[in-house]
Amino acid sequence: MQIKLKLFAAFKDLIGKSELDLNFEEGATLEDLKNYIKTSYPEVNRLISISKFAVNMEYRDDNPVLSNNDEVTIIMPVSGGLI
Amino acid sequence: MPIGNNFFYIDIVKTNIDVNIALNFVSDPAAGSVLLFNGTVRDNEDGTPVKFLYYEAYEEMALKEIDKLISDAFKKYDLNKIAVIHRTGKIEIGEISISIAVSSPHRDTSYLASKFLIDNIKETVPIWKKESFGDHEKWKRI
Repeated sequence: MQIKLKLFAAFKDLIGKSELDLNFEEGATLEDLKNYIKTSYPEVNRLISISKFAVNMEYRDDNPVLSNNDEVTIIMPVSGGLI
Repeated sequence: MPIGNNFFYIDIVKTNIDVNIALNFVSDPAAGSVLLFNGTVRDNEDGTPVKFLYYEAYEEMALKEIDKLISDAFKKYDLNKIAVIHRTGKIEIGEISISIAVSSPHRDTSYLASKFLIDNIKETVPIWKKESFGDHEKWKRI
């Protein structure tokens, strides 16, 4: 299934894109997506660990199963400290 | 494009904020208080000189989150109208990054609601600022 990951601020600068189109197996969860990003873009590991996530523009503190065409966003915390 | 109804107005703009749009919107014959808060760009961050700020928003979600906070403010306080305008892009020192106008029958609730809104907007609304110090830059949430 297709997941759109929207990137803003420090994540956009570090990864160099404002959006990533990702492919996951059916049943993949938000945690799977986080792990994929951490593995693929180790430079954002520290920021990811202090960020929140939104799925389809709703903050999610749990680990929802993602659906085809979901839009996921990483919400950088109040102080993101990127030099 | 602004969103809202007769009681609230939200916009995210890319040019100078016209505070009169916010003030005129909240003007109400039933109000005895109209309060305007402007967040402005400071020339330093903890003493380090700042050249300018660059703001970026996840606009669709930011509008939605501000909308939720406005609903909460109307539930919590006796208010007439609310207008929130946020600016994105490059903003120079001294310029306005956010305007919040609130009208209410009595002044107390204007002050409380205005503070409630700015405090919570900073907490939950996906808008970020990049401080430019000249030789380096730093991203923060607003």
